[in-house]
Amino acid sequence: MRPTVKAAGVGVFGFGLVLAIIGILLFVAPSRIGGIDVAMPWLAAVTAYMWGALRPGIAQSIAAFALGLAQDYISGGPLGPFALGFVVIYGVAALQRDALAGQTAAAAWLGFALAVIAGAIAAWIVGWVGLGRPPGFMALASQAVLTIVVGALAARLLGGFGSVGVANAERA
Amino acid sequence: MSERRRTRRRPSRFGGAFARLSVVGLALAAVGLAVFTRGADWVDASRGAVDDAMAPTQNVSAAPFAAIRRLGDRFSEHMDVVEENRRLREQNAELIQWYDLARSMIDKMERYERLLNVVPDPTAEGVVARLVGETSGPFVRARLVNAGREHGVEPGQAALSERGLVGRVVTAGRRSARILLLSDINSRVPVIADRNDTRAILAGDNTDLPRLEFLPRGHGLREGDRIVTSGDAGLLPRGLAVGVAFNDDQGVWRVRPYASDAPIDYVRVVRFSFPASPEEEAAADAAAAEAAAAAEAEAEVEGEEGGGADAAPVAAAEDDAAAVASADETGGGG
Repeated sequence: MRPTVKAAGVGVFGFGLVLAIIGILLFVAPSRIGGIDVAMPWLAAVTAYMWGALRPGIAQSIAAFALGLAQDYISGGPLGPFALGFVVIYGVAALQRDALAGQTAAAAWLGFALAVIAGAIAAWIVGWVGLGRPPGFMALASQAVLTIVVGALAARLLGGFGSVGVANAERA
Repeated sequence: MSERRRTRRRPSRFGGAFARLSVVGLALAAVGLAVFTRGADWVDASRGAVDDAMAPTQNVSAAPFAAIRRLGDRFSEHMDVVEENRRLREQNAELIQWYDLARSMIDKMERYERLLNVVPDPTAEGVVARLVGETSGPFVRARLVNAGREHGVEPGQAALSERGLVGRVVTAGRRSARILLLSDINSRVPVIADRNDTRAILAGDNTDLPRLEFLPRGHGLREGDRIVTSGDAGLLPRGLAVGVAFNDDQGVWRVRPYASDAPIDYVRVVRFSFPASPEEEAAADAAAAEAAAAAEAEAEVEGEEGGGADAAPVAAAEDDAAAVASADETGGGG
């Protein structure tokens, strides 16, 4: 059964990177429909979470940081908020590994939601530091909620949240 | 033994101590980035190059949203076609009257300006650019357009939709530029109320309706007052239409931007040059005079040097002429 864990890790890294890059490009795409700004989810956060939950390592943590920094850079905002947010999401996921071992996809999704909330709070605080004034809380909250909702679908591309419980049960 | 080996092989929860340390280090690096790159010019400068590289890709990623938007627009247009037609007829009848009035006012104003010898405002030229990227997140509200320094776009220039001011250019790459919207938390635009010349600063707060700050006491602003740029601080030209003032539920004066009434696909980036101040003009005149004096002195030196080389033939010719003259005089006397 060990190859399953390894294959999951390798697949998650490669596919995750592709998903994250697409996610960052969609994040800055013009998404105003009918005069309303449509909040965009942080698809790259799904990748950061899956990396942390399935196969944490130095390369993955640096990659999560780099994805966040790329999102900061391309979106035109201060540097740091998304970089920290994604690192926090990755770190919270890694801390959840034992707790999620053998758990269902719903439990992993709950873990993802907690990680995203922690990441959003960290990003908001660092955004305040970078801007010198508090960022838009509602905009951040709506993006975080959308990320949690869309995350379940996006995670299916990386094996689904169900694979988190299975892989960590095998590891244990 | 095999039990021990299994225990050793079991991957750690966090991928090892170094992985754990790397997370802490990266988190600190992110905080450090936010602190030390705040307001750094090199960040904006380097973003110009990245925006140039990203603009074509963003064109592609924007395509699905543009298609959905077009579909939605068409659907709503079809649904409202009768009502829209009636409204447009009424509006057209009203606008014809306004057009006549505007024409007569323009004629009158031009006559007055000629009579009073008014110095005309400098004309603003512009370039029309298409929107290729958009950020409406908690940290920034900006738009990326497909025109840059190659097209004369520079940071600080105003970006207008067909309805009014959208924002101003903050970074300009070679073929792309980033426009900070009026609603961005970092946007500050000096404005004035058309009706009574009340000045204020239009400050974005990441909502669709930016606030009017630093209003003078007893300003007399009324709901529905037209707000335009004041031209103060030399940021933007005076008189660009911004929006309509209103008082929100909490008693805060805000502006509903004209540009937010319709989706923005294209913007016009206005190239506007402010007239130089008297001090700048004096400094420029002094520099020009100095340069002219230096050029004259140089020419004189060159002339003298040239004169030294040709001095002998000229002196010889002068001596010959004098000798001829004295011989004539002698001959005449004799």
